[in-house]
Order: sequence, then C-alpha cells, then structure tokens
Amino acid sequence: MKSKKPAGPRIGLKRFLSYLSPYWGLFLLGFAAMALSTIAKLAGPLILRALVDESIPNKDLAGMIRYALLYLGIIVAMGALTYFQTTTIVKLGLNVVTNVKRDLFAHLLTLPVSYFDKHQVGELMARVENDTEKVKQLFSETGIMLIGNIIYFFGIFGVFIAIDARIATLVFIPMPFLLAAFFFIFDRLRPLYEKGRKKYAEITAIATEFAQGIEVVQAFNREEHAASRLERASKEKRDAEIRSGMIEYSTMGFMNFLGGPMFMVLIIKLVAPQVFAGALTVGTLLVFIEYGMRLFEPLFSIGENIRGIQQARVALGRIFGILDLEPEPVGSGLEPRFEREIEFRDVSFEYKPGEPVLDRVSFTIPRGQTVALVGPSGSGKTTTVSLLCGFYAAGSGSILVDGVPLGELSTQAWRRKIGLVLQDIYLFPGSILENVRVYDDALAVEDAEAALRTVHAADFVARLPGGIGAELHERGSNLSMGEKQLLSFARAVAFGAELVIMDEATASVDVATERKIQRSLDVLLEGRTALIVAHRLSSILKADKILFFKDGRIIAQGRHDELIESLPEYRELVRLQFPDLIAETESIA
Amino acid sequence: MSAPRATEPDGGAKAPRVDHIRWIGRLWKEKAWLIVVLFALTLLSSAVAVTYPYLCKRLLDTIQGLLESGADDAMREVDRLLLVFAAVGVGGLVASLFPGIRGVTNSIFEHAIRSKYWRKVLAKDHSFFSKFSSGDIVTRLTDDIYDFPKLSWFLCSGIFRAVESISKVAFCLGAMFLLDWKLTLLSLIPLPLMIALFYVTQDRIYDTFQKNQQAISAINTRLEMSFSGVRIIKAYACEDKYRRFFSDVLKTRWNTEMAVARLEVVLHMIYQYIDYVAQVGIVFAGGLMAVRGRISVGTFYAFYTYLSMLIYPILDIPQLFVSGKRAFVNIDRLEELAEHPEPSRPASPVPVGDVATIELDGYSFGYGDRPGEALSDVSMTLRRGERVGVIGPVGSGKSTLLKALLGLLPASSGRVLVNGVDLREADLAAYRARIGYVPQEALLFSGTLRDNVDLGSDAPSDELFRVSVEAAQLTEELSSFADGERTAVGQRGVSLSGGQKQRMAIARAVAREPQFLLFDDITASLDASNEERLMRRLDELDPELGYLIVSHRLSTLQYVDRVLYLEDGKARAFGTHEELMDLPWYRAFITEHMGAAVEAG
Repeated sequence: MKSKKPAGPRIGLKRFLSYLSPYWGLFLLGFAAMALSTIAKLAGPLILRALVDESIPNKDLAGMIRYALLYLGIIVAMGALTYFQTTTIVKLGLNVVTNVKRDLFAHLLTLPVSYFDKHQVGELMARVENDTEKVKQLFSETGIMLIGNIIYFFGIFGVFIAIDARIATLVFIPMPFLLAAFFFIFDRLRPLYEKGRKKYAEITAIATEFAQGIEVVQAFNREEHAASRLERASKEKRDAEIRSGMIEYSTMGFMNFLGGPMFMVLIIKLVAPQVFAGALTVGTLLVFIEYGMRLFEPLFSIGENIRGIQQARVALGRIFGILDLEPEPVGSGLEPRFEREIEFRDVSFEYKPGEPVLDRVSFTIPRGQTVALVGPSGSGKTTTVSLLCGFYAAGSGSILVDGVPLGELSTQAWRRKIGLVLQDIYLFPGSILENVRVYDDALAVEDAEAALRTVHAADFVARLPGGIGAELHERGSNLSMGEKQLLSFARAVAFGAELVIMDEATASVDVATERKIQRSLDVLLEGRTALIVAHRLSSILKADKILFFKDGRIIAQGRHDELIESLPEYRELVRLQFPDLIAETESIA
Repeated sequence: MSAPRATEPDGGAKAPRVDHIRWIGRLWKEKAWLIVVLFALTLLSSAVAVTYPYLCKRLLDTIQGLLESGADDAMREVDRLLLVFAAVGVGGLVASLFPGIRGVTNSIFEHAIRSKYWRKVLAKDHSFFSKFSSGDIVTRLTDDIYDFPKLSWFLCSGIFRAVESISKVAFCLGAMFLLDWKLTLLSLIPLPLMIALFYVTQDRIYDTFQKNQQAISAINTRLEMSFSGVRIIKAYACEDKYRRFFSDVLKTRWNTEMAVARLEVVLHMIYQYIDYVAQVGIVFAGGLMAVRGRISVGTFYAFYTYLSMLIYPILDIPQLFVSGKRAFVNIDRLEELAEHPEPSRPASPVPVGDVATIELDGYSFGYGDRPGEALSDVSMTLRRGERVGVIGPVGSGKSTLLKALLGLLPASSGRVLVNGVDLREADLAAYRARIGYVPQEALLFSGTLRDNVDLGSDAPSDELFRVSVEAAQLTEELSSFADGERTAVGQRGVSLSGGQKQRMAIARAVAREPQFLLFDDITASLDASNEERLMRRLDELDPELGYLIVSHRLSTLQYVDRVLYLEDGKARAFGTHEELMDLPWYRAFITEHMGAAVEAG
C-alpha cells in the first residue's frame, strides 16, 4: 500500500490546522473569551489583598463595598465569558471532527479493494468513529484549556515578580524539575495508551465478526471460544490501562504533595520573616498563599491536558496515515468506448508474490457476445472478473477495451458500463429499493420497479410488507438465498449496463426460478455483452464462447459442442454435472 | 408488527424500565473490597482538603497576633504550625492513591461488563440477531461502555467523584459551622434554588442523550455496511452517493451532540452563576463583619477559602444525576440486549449419546416480519446412515429447515426430536457436537486457515486437519499458499475465492467427525466434479454418516437415498427419487430440468 509521503509531526500539524482554518473566527472568539476569563480569575486574590490590607484595618466600609462590587462585576463577566467560551469551543470541535470524519470516510472509499481485504471492517469503523472522537478532545478539555492554563500560570507568576522578585525566583526554582518529571513520565505512558487504543479497535473487530457469524458459532458450540477471544482482547486493554493509570495517578499524587502542602511550607518560610520584618503586609502573605496554592493547579492540568493531547496526536497520526494512502488508480480519464471487443493479452496476476493465480491468460470478448468461464474452483475465474472490474491491476500483460488499455480509461466511467453480479451477494440494511439502486437516487423508483419485474422478483417483493420499501435485515437475512440472488440481479438490470459480469450468481437458484431468470437474461443480453463465470448448464450452452480455466490458464476455448469433442476434462465436468445430457447427446450421435 | 428498524434512530426513547440502582449495586458487590477501600480513601482525601483552610486561618491569626505582640521567637511558633501542615500533607499523599484506584476500577468494570453482556449476546437466538444489527451490538459493547463520560467511567469515577464532593461539602459545612454559624447560613441560601432547577431539566437530558447514542449507532451501522459492501459500491460507481449518505448521519449526529453540549453548558452555567453570587455574598457579609471587628482576618480568609472549596463539589453533585441519567441510558441499552428472550434451556437436559434419528414433527416457524410461515407443519425423519436431498423452489424454506434441525430457530409449533426426545429437553451442546453444518455463506473467521478448520473440532490434531482438508479437496491449494495452513484469512475470508471459502467450511464441518452433516446449498460454489469427489470421500471416511443436502442441481440426487421436496414452507413429498417420479407434478418438475438439457442438446 503506497503512501504519498510520510506524515511527520510538522506536516501533521499543518494538516490539522488546515481543518481548523475554516473556523478560525470561532477559534479566535473562543480563545479570546478564554483569555479574558482567565485574566478575570487572576483578579480575585488582588481584591482580597486590598480588603485585608486597607478596608478591614481602616474599618473603611465604603471602600469595602466598592471592592466587593468590583469583585461581583468580575465574577459576572467570568461567568458569561465561560459560557460563551465553552459553547464556541464545543461547536468548533464538532465542526472540525465532523469534517475529518467526512474526509476520512470519503478517502477510504477511494482506496483499492486490496486495502479492504487486508483490514477488518471493525478496525476501519474504529478509525472513523473512535479515533476522530479523540481528536475532539483537542478542543474540549485539552487543547484550548492547555493554552488557558499556560496563560494563568504565567499570569500568576507575573504578579509574584511584581510583588517581590527575590521570593518569586526562589519559588520558581522547583518548577522546571517538576515539569521535566511530568514529561518524562508521560512519555513513558504513551506506548501504553497506544496499546489500549489498538485493543479497543481489536475488540470492535472481534465482536463484529462473531456477531455476523453467530449461526456458525452456535452450530459449532463455539460460544466459549468467541467469548474468550473477546475477553482476551478486553483483558489486555484493561491491563494496559491499569498500568498506565497507576503510574499516572501515583505520579500526580506525589506531585500534588510536593506542590501543595510542601509548597505552602516553602512559601510561608520565605514570606513570614518578611512580614515580621515589616517589609511585606499580611495581605501580601495572603496573596502569596492564594496564588501559591493556585500555581500548581494549572501546572498539573497541563500534565493532564498533555496526556489528552498525546492521545489525540496518536489518533491523528493514524487518521493522517489513512488519508495519506494512495487511492486506487482512477485511470487517465479517457472516456471508455466499447464497440468492438475486450481483450485480455497475456495477463498474469498474483495476490501474493510467488503465488500466481493467473498465468498468461489471453482471450477476447467481442461486443454483443456471451463468454462463459468454466473450470475447477480456484482456477482463476473470479480473479479474471476482479481484474476486468478494475479492482486489481494486472501484474503483467494488459487488458484492452477497443484496443485501449484499461489503465488509461477513467475507472469510474468504465465501471458504470458494467453490471456486476457477485458470488458473495452483498445486501445492505435498508429497503429493497435502495438495495436495487445502491442508494443512487438518480435512479428513479419506476426504473427500479421495472428492473424487479424483468428478473421476476416483483411478485415476492410485492408479498413483503412495504413492497419495494420493505426493510432488509443485516445482509438480507430475512430473504432466502434465491431471493437475494434475484435482487442482486435486479441491480445489474436497473443500472442498464453494457457489459454484464456475473460470477456464479445463478448457480444457487432453483430450476423454476432459473428458467424465469434465463428468459429475462435473454432479454437483457439482447444486444449486450456478457461474461459469465458459469456453473449452470443453460449459461454454458447459450454462450458464444466458453473458456475452460485450469490452474490459472485457459486450456481451451470454443463452443460447447467443440469442447465436448476435443477436451476430455470438459466432458468430465459436464458428465458430472449433467449426467443425462451426455447420454442424450450420445444417443443422438 | 412492522419490520424492525434497527438502523434508524427512533423518534422517542423507548427503553426498558431497569432498576438502575440495583444494577449498579450488583456490579459493585463483585468488587466489594475495592469499593470499600475507595470509600475510605475518599473520606480521608476530603478530610485532608478541609483541614488546610483551618490551618491557614490559624497561621494568619497567629502571625497577626505575633505582629501585634512583637515577640522575638515569632518564627518558632510559625515553624510549629508548619510541622502540622507537613503532617497533614503526608495524609494527603496517602489519600492521593484514590484517583489512581478509581481509574483502575473503571477499567476493571469496563471489562467485566463487556464480557458479561457479550456472553449473553452469544446465547441469544435468531430473533435477537434479526432485531439488532451487528453494528448496533458492537456499539453497545464498546462505545456505550468505554471511557468518559460513558458507563464504565460513571460506575466508579462518576459516582465516587460525587461521594468525594458530598463528603467535602459535609466536612466544609461542618468546619464553617464551627467557625461562625451566621455566615454559614448565608452561604447556604442558593442551594434550594439549584435543586429545583435541576429537577426541571432532568428528563430532557435523558432523551437528548439517548438520541445522541442512537445517532452514533446509526453512524456505525452505515460505516459497517459501506466497508463490507465496498466491492458493490465500487462496481456500481456509487462512492459519491455513499459519501452523501454518510454526510446525512454525520449531520444528525452534529445536531444531537450540539443539543447535548448546549444542555450541559446551560446546567453548568446555572450552578456556576449561583455559587459565584454566593461568593460575592461572603465578600460583602464577611468583609462587613471583619471590618466591624466581629471576625478575625484569619476567619474571613478561611471562609473565603471554604466557599471556593465548596463551589466545585456543589457543582459536581448534580453532575452525578446528569451523568447518571446518561449512564442509565447505557445500562438500558445493555439490558435491552440481555432481556431479549433467550431460548429456554432445560434444568436437567436429557443426555444425547449417538444420534440415531433426527426428526421434525409438525414443525412450523415464521420469521415474524413477513406474513406466512417459512416452514409449515413439516414432518420428516433423518436416520443415521441415511442421505436425504432437499429440493424445491426459491424461498421454500430449505435453509430454514437446516437451521431448525440445528435448534437455531424457535418453533411456533411442532418440535425437533433427537432420538425421539424433544430437542428443547435435550442436551443441545452434545447434540450439536455431533452435527456438522456447512452454511450457504462460508462465514469464516479471522485467523489462520488452520484455526478455521480446527474451529470445527473439539479435539483438533494434525491428522484430523489433514484428513478434513483432503476430504474438502483443499490439500493441493493449501500447499500452494506460501504460508500453507498458517495463511491468514481476513474477515469473512475475503482473500480466498468463493469456492475455496466454501471448501474451508466443508473441511471445518468434516473436522467435527460428525454423525450427521447438514449441507446448505453448497452447489453455488462447488462444481460437480468436486461434489463427486467429496461425496466419495465422505463415504470412505464414514459409511454410517447421515447427511442432509440442499441442492438445486439434479446431479446431487444421485448421491442421496431419499428426497424431500419443499414448497412454500411445506413438505410436499418425501421419498426415494424413483417413488416420487410416480407423482406427475414431481416428474414435471424434474423433467423441466431435464427438459432444458434435452432442448439445448
């Protein structure tokens, strides 16, 4: 999986800011509100000092009232500012995170199919939903609060220096050590947090896959297995969090001890003698005590904020990692024309190096003809289909449409010419209508209904409550396999494809329904081209050309009667599948 | 009843009425000693916090007094007080273990809850999994539980923060009363107003939070279906539609989340405002009393500090109810999973030895969201050593039949009998241990190829693996993979071809060394030659093996002893192929199939 460029920290920051920039107005407002409310917070102890040093000893009632009113005003202002700040910043956070989610999802959909084969659905869900929520933390409690705490800290310090520079310096000395200890400890914690998040994604993936495969789990008495697999991941997460939690909180506790009572002792030892010497007032001592106690709040909060920021950074790293992935090739944008033929020329392909699945395959699909692929399973038929859909790129050789290599065509435009009916029928939670048109509302309801009629699915759909609007359960579990087939068929019909590609889709439908489909298929294929990976006799007999695959090679091409004569393996295949046909043929011959 | 819409958010919250307090109590009892320690440390921590302002008051008054009296050994007095400070500090250090233990207990609870409810989910039956999508189940087991401010946080940190706040408030008030009761009463005035305001907004919070959680579930559902069905989305070039589609749920979430945030800010503001006003009250009244000489500077400062100390805990206590309401939503969502009816299990199940017969006796079952029954009054017997083919038109109930035989579906009437015993009375696990099941869709799990095959067996071994893989005709392909049996298989085994996946599922069932094999239409991904080889191998491995095989392919019927013809959920005929050929409509059905071959030939 190629990346465009490595997401280093500076690039990460720049990209993050690019998400922020549309809302810079909100950001400034929130920031300003927070700055102002922080400054207001600083004013309190100074007013106290005025009260203690002036109004109370001088028994100045009027002065006291003046100061009290000033205090009231500041508190009101602080309240209003905090409200404004919080709502603004929450909105900012929501906006940014929603945009990130949108972009991440959109980008994921551009990634090639191979990416989805390698990553579990649950893991991807955790990226889009949970990692982005961590980024939101940068806005709510952490990112902005961090800046506020820094301002607060330096504000307090400024007041100290203004009062007594010597004491301020002495007070300041232990701080850098404490901060350094903080960073050291939290750095050690980071890998533990990362492990916790990884385990969370793993839990999501495990739960998803067993919930979807619950029938197999229960039929095989593997409930205990499913339970313990999840529990193992959950336990590992818990243990990582316990370890990180204990380290973090006991460090904090010790810091609080040093920064709280011990710090108080230090301040009083420094300031009290000055008070006795008459150099400083009692009110000033009060200010030192008040601020002194408050000095460590922002410092410790900074520690907490940094943890949140680290978690967010890790999440951001993963998000940008995905955004950096190269999307699947869109082709050179040429509008595809399919008027003559599709040609596979010496195409080879391997999913994993050293394990070839297709080996120098060559054939043509002339326009208007039906080509059937037959052969033992695993011989490369499905892979051929995937290559033609552009899900994977051929390793060597080329696939040409009217002589133009597939890579030069616009991938999306080419795919729109294709109607794909898969072996692994995927139906979405949603209505039958949406499943037929794959949520493409450019396709009218009437067209979807017409498609259903064509494939003779209209009667069973009409019997469902809500008809075409009936809701399907997850993966269509409230329909039978045959009915699901018909729906995936209707999809191809509704999109009016020029090239129909069917991968063993008609194989699990019963005879009566298959006849219905055969009839409508005839209508559909009239004037259209088709590539069918076939297991059904009818498809084979009606095909203009049959390609017999074995071990990734085409060992024979031709019509049914030709192959019956010339290829013993073909005879064998047909004999096993349709025993009476051979007898008939032989009796006729 | 209309089709359950597990994917769209409901209009209003319809949660089961759970006794939340008792639920929490039960959980706490499991870790009783941890809770007790937390309580003790909480009280210690609050007591320590409350001592400081009192000590400061003593300090200030002492210094003031020493200033006025002009003593020489002033610092010695002060030093003595400082020693007390340090001692209290050490107490605080011990108490500071409290947040750590709190955080750890959150994680412990999270794991305990998750594993408990996951086990409950695993025991549920078909009706449960049609009601709850996997995205929904996963959300309830992850997002609803994990981290602030969800359930596991609330159960410990959330509640104990409230305990800490309440104890701090109690101790604070106690100290304040001891200092000056008049001033204390003044500080208490805003309280009744706060409580009244809180109750007014209480229910709005629950609904708002419930809607937000539903919006999150909807997002997860759309994510799941988009990623699982990515091939279809790409093949039909519908990426743009899905982006818009996803944008819609994001928008809904934005609105619900904003609604929750606004409500929380409003509440927060109400309480903050009131307490700040109270603080001003102290400055006025207390300052007045200090000016008039009725209280010392030390007492004035102590009150000021105590009131600041009161603000956060008093703000926090209603948070208990707010976050409690949210946590109750999470609890309700979990209990909704648990309370869904489970298939009843007998108290003393009849043991199941070798399975000689499996019977359906007048069995009926309906999926509930569509009219009519999927299976209607079906009776049939399958004996050890017997092979039965099941054929019939689309939607006639063939897959349902197999699931019924496995006891995966709750019958609306009739029963499934094992050796003549009703399956509901029998040891289901022992029965299932003797049955191998190959579903229509392979449903492999992430792990290695070896893991997936071993999953079928209660006693996996190298030899068993080899035999099973060979029977499923995977041996050659397995050796062609670079990692062989250790090749990793993704979710739903997507890097294998359909046929390979299906054969893996067959190997898995064979590894069970079953007495009966149930094949649900494997003809989709297993061609005729492979089918022949499989049938032959199965015969060799265990001639006594009984099996039921659903098929649309006539060639399958050559391997079976009898045929069951299902139509519209009813067993229309059950007998040997030869016997049934005497029935005109059956003959017509088969002839149609034969007719197609003759036509083309």
